[in-house]
Amino acid sequence: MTRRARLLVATALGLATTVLLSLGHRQVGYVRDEGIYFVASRAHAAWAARLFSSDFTTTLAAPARDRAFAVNREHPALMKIAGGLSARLFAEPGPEARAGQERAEAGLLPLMPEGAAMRLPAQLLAGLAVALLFLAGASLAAPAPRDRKPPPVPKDTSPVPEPPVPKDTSPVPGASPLLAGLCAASWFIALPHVWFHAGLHTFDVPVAAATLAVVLIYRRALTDRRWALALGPALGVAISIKHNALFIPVLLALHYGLCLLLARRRPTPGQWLPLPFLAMAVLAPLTVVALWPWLWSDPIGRILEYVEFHRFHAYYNTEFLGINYNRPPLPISYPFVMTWATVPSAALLLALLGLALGLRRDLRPSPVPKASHTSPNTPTWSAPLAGQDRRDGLLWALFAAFPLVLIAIPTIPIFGGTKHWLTAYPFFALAATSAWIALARAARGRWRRAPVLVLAALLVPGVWSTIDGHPYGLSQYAPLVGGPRGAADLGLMRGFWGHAVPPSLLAPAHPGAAPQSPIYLHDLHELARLQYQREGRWAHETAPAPVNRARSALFFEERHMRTHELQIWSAEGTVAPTEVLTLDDVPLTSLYGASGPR
Amino acid sequence: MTPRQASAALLVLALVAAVEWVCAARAYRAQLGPDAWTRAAEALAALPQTEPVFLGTPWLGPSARQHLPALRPWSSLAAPDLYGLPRFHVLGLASASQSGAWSSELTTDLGELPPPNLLGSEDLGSLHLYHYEQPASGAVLTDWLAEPDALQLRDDLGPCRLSQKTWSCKQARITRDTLEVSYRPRRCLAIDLADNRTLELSRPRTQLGTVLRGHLGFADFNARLRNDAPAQLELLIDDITIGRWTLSDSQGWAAFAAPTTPGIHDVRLRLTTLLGGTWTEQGYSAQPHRTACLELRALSEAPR
Repeated sequence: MTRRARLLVATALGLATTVLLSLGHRQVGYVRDEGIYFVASRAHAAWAARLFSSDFTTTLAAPARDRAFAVNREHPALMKIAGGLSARLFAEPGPEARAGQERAEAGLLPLMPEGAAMRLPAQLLAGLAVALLFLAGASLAAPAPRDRKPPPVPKDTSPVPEPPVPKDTSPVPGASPLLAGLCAASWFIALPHVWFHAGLHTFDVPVAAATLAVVLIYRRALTDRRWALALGPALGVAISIKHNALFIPVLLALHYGLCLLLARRRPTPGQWLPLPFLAMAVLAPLTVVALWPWLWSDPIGRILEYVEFHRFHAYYNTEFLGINYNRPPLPISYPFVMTWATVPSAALLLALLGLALGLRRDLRPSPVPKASHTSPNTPTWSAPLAGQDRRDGLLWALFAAFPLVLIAIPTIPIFGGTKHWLTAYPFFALAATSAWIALARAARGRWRRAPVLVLAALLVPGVWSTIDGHPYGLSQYAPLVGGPRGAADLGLMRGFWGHAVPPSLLAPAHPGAAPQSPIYLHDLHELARLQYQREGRWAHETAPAPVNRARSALFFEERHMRTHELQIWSAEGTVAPTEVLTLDDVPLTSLYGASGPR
Repeated sequence: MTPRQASAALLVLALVAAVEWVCAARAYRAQLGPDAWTRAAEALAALPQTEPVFLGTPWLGPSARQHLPALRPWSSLAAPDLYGLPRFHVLGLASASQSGAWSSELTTDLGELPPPNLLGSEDLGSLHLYHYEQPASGAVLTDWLAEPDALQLRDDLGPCRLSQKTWSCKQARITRDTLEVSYRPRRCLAIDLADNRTLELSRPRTQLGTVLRGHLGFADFNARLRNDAPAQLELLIDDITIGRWTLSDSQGWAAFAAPTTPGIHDVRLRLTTLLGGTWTEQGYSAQPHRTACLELRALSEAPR
């Protein structure tokens, strides 16, 4: 497969992912957090748009800047600016608003509802992640030397021995780069929880995509100065998406240090102060500050405020194996069990095999012959691992394990479930691809065709699960768990974001079919409801109200919110919902009306 | 990796993937259509109305209540336990845990009772209906929730007045309500009582059997989060204390019981909620207040 063909396939896959997400996620309700992000996006983008007006100086001044960026300052502004600008480009106008109500404003090229337009940048980043994974997976399948057995460990590290050249370097029959690329891309995106989060105007999949991009750039930066310079801004962009990226340089430093340590030779002076890390240290902070105008007035103070917010993040509730957790100590097993419960097991096994093989290979304390011969063999400050193995297996393992290990710490809040460690999944995907390539290369005789068949077989459950779960993928579980029904039996969380709104509420069959007004919204955030209203998807006459004054009510299934359901029973005078939204029989949301039976 | 190792790994992966395909085919489709609910409704309608129906698959609750009137009464939805129920029925999803025949919630409600006898089951398609008999359940002679007029309530400052199903006193307010205790609905006397005060609930000339059984819990989730103070219960029969309990919200729907001599007796229950308020970062506040949820029944049980 030529480089050009790879790029074409990667681009096609990325675009297909973005288009599918853009169209498919119009069925996905607005999650609680999106409500405030929509508001912030409009404020941020309005400010950005004013920069191109004659009001440039006033707009850039601190008062106007702070007014625009004070809202939702617990997260960096980049994705919200992008979302807001996307709406200004592509949003369809909302219907005529009534007094006191807002309507979506028309963009320059109105193609989609305002919320869908704001989700587009995140969906593009998901497409980018798919494209990058395809390229990275395909590159892993490049023909390898026949024998990669390590040379004997030298007893004396000085002088440095040249790694012995294997006797037979003719390449083994390589695994198909196309299939390897598809393995990596599909492993990641065809997971119901990844697919669900990938289409939202939130930061979890975008930061996963950015983390992947930074790691792939770092991988190149170890041997190429151009990529080393790009690493700083790339990290800055990643941090400007979400704070998870703050851990990236730490993990990269750990990887780099281990590479030097395991190379068993004294680092050159340039290797002590490598350009990739200098670029990250200098350019990343500048990029972060440049992309977040809220910081401009008081960078140190506001960064500290931001760090404090996340250090002391509130403990919300989550259900795990039938128990509601809302304060530490939280179960250490949580991220591991939830990963198993939401990622199909065969795909997970392949990834674990890849991590094991990678670590077995890369933790050997000996210099390993480098696969590429394009770089000079002498490490320099701008190409600090030139001539040395980049130890990809170790890199994938660090980035796959860290997010789960971090969440496993009993004092780390776990309210968001799997979304907190989505950054690990691209590296599971690459590890799985490495394993599949190793299997494809080693398979002989009648097993020769087995890798292709097995790859198809183990990717299907993820695709199946994703399609079945859509648009309620947050409540979807893996086949071996038993899907949503099995998870409900086990007492696993069904949702936490109030997005699974019964379709009849958003698209009533006729004007009189809307629930009686006023309605109690329960976990549907008022800002999310306002977004529906701006787009004309919420009946004007259906006003929100507290439960004791409501004539109809929503109830989202969350264990700790059972009290609210009883309040609804009392207020509505009935225990029977008029409509129950289910995923494979498992109730997600109930709609109670005033005229139902008691 | 050797070819042999690769073959073994591919075989394992293929087997796991094959199992996943089978599981996915079972898991990723709805099993309950309108026909299933209609069949279940018909089967439940044929049951004696005095015999409650419980869910063996608790998470089906909203759908079951939507489609099945038999699952809407408080006796099915918010029963205190399984005592006093010689016969009852359990509806569950056949493909769910324990084939929908039983649930951990029913095990909790069993208390000290032995497992019930399964008399039979009906295959209603995806749903199954199981019929149970509990010879040791005993019979309820008096339920304090059933006859509010028979209750006399007073706090430290005097008697409470019953009006529109609510008792009002100087230091307390009591209603019959359904509250959430341990994430489940429970029918009970909902008691809002001032800190460190005592509410006395009397039922003169009450028909007693061999045992008085009751439960105390605290609603709701948020209030329990902010207050773990225990409550004290004292049970008196004919002015003689026969039981004292100190119960906290960590015990959930805490059961208490005391043996009694069959006959007509005066029964009094004294509840002291030490602290009912809320601890916040600013300290203790009496409001919002945690509500106690109390129920009591006299039963006649055969010796076991």
